[in-house]
Amino acid sequence: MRPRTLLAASLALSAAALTPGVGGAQPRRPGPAAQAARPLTLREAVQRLQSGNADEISDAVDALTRIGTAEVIPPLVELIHSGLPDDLLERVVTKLGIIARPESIDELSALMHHRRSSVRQRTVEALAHIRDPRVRGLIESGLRDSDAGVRSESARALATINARPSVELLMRAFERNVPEAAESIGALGDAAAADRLLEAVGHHPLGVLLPGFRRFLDRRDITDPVKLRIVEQLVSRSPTRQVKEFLQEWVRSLPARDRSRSRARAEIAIRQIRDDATAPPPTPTPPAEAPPAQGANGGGA
Amino acid sequence: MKRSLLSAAALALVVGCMPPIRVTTAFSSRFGDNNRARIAEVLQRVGDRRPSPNAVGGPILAAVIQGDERGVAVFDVANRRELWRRAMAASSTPEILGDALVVEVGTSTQVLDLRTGAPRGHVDHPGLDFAGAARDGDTIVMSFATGLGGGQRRAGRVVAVSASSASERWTHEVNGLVGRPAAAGGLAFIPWDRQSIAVLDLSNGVEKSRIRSTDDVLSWVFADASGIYYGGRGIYRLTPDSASGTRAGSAYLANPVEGVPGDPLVYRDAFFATTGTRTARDRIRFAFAPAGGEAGHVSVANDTIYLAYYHDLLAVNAADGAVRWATKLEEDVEDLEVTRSGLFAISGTGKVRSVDPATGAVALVAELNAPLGAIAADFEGLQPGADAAAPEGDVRAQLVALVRDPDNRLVPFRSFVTTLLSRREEPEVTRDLLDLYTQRSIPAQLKQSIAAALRTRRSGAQFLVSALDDHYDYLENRQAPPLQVIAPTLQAMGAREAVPGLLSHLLDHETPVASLPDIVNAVAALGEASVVPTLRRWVQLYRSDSAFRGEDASAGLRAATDAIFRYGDAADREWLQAQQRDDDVNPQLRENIAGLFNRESAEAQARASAVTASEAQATLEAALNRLHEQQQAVPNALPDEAIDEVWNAHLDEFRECAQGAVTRNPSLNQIRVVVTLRSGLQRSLLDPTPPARTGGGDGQPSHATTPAEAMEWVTRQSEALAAQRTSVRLTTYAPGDRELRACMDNVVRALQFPASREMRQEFRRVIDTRAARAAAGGGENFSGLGVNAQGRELPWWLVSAPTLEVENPPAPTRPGVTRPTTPTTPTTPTTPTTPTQPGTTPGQRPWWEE
Repeated sequence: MRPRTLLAASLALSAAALTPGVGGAQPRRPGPAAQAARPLTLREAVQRLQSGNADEISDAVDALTRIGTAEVIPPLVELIHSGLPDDLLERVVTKLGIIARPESIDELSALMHHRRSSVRQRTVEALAHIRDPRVRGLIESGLRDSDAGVRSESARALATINARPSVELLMRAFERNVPEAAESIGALGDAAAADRLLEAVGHHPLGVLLPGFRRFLDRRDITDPVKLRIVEQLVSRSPTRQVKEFLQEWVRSLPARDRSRSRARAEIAIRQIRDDATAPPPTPTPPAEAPPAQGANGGGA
Repeated sequence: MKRSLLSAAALALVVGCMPPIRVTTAFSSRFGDNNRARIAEVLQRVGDRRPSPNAVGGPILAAVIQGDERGVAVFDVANRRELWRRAMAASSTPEILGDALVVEVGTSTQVLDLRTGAPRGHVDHPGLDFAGAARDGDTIVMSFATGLGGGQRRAGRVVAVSASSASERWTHEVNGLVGRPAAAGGLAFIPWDRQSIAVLDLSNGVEKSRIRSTDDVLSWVFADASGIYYGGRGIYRLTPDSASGTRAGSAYLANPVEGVPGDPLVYRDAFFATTGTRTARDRIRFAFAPAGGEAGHVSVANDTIYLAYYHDLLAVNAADGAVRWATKLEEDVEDLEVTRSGLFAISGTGKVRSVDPATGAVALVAELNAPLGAIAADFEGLQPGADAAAPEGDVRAQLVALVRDPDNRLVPFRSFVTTLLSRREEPEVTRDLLDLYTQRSIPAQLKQSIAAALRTRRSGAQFLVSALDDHYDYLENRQAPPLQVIAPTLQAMGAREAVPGLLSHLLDHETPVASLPDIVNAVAALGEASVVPTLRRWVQLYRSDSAFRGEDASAGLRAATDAIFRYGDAADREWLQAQQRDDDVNPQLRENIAGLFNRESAEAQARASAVTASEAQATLEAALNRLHEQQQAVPNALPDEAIDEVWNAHLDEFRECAQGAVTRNPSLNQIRVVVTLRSGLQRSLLDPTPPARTGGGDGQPSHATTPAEAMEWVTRQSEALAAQRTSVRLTTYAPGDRELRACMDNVVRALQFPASREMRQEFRRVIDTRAARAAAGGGENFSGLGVNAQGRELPWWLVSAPTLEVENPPAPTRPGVTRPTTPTTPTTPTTPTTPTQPGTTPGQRPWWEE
């Protein structure tokens, strides 16, 4: 028996179980026009998963995604376990993120250890769409991955799921050369986190740090004194054209009625900083050493 | 008389004018070596010697001083002062010889006063290198050679000079290499061509004895208070048993430490010319002090041999090579001296350190503050320094410390120490090796040695299992454990408890793809069938994934399919076959699965073929045995019973012929018949075995005879042998009655007898026609012996041959003289004959021949 057939059998059983009232009699297949007109039912989609035809399987996956109930997860998991070609596997993982059902977390957890980094990266993206307490830990584990893309995606995803308890880990990741962590810290961190990020000015490229500060400055839950400190520290530590442009952009984004001290300080700084001011090259902070990636697909830092 | 006187005078004149005889008998190829009596004489002369103190009277160090002011200096080590220094371009290691110091300067070897450095004389040796010198009494013997460092020309010279003036006493030019000598008991011991030790009388240079090894290389010799020692890698002590010329037959101590990088000998190589400078050869060396002890045995002080390798120092048990201690000194060891009071290491900066032979504790004895080159030391009486510091930890920790040494000059030695470490039985050694392997500072070459050492471990599995808990972590800067080393080692250890940890690494994407086959193999070997479901799921997940495309990348998956094939059940095999048929599956994987089934099928066929072949062989052997029995049954000559069996079947026909003859000649008493048989047996039918090769006719190549062809041959042979017959070639009858002949020939010529080996055989029969006894009539039960059951004699035609037991049957009673006048039915039995037996007495002959 071919594996596809095995898979088909198991999927058929799943479909049968999911379709009450459908007995052993083969239902009449609707005509092509009718098929095009209406979306596939769960049972039909599961049956198409058995077809062995990549296009039909893709259609079935799309149909299951549209259905989006908990019942579509087992057939999709079965499909993953059957051993898919690269593109199809990544497509299914993406769909699991769109479906965003907690029932797929176990499978996504396993896929966090898939040997292809692109699969792990998409898994992180998918997890970020699911609301479940298990998600944060799984995404945090992505920060420990040997692949830079997975680490970056994980840092972003933690911000997406608003994982404030992960700020400390993001700080660690930032220190370990995960630049995307800075923006996430800006999105999630508190005043202390902002101060720690400010300490990195001069040691890390501003291009890495400024998105984090922007997120701090854009947040309503960050008080004006904290924002003022950010602006002042930025200006004092790196009075450069890059900071000037950063502040200009931020000020422009503020509503006209904003009369905060941080805005006032930013406007002063904008006037004070000369356009030709440049920053010295950043001094890396130890430990900046990245361990060599060992995995088959690890890209390292 | 006058002429005699004149001759004597002339001879005296000639002799008087000749220079003194310088060349004496030695190094002859005709000299008898390994002579036990001569060696015993040598030993008697050497006797027990006391160590002779040097002329300074205390521990001294002589060295070539390196630097701008090159020279030779002698130091009083006990008082830490320089006794003298003399500028000279010394080119050898100095030799401290009593009150003299000998050192080579270019092509001249200087003899200096040890106390003052004043020159006493010199020996020039252009074209030859100074190999070394030794002294006994007031004679110094020196060896010079060319070709010590290799090269085609190999020549040597041994010179004996006066210790006080360096004036020559005798010399030998030797065709071959001679090495650094030893001297004791008025004898010089000269290593010769790395095979022999020539023992010369110091007084005249005459060779007194010679030791030659037949199974070893003799590279050095030295004299000690406890005797003469010589050897190569091991240590021999000169005893009468040295005459055996073998390791096993001599007093010998093997060096238990083998494989040291640089391959140092256990003692200074006598055939290596020194340079006067510091060399790696000085820094990589063994040292030991003979302990004398029981005659016929070699023992060393403290049962310890020391090994210096740059700044590392090891003490090992001389018996088994077990490390007693290991330490690292602050400086490289340029010279290592073992005395009765301890071990001393000398550095190139002139620091003399004592090392406790028992613990390895090191203490500074003296700082001579001089840039020392080649060093010679006489430290007898030197006391160890105070405040000695022993190496930290136990021996295991000491060895680990040496492996950790960051000095990359010592990588080969650190690898060697790793091997020593791995031989230890403590389970913790496994952990040590694992820790060392994971050290980032460890060079790749050393890492390989550590990995190899780890694989030899059979204890400490718990440390390896524990190491499996670690996984790669970018944030924590943590590496995965060395799975390619751990997994095979755990497999070899049979550590089933490692299966969960190994599986966790199998499923971890951070595990290097190169380690996957090792992990899969270990998991499969340890977990057997229990891990098949996990392996199957793993293969299923990646069966179409590009992560495992390619020969190398797919190795892990292939190993997993191997394991599933081996440990799985029928369903697993069916699943494998399904994978093999699926076009979406990794091609390498499909190929591997196909190979698994094909190999199994081929092996099964081979096994079946082997069984068939075995059965065919058994059948062939049985047929051959039957053929052999058939061949053995063919007699050399046909026995009487075989002839009778054929003959007696035609008695009626013979009777008719006889009756006819009697009718024609009533006075006929007997008919004599001589039959010559000819056997047509082909010799080839007696071949015991089938031909090795078959075919080859018509220009076709022959081939090895197959079992089937052999069987056919056996069958053919058997059938042909069974069909073989012996036929009648000649017949002779007496009387020569033509009708009788015709009648008899009609019967006899047609007879067919069994086959026999002899080509020609003759038998005779006599038909007695004189008896007139009437036949008793038919219907009686005859025994065939000429007498019926009732004891009545039988008519002749009913009687066959004599019994088998009677080789020459006794003559039957002669019939009466009365002859019937009318033909009567012959009633006397036919008396068969046996072939003539040469050498039988007339009385034993058949009656018809008497």
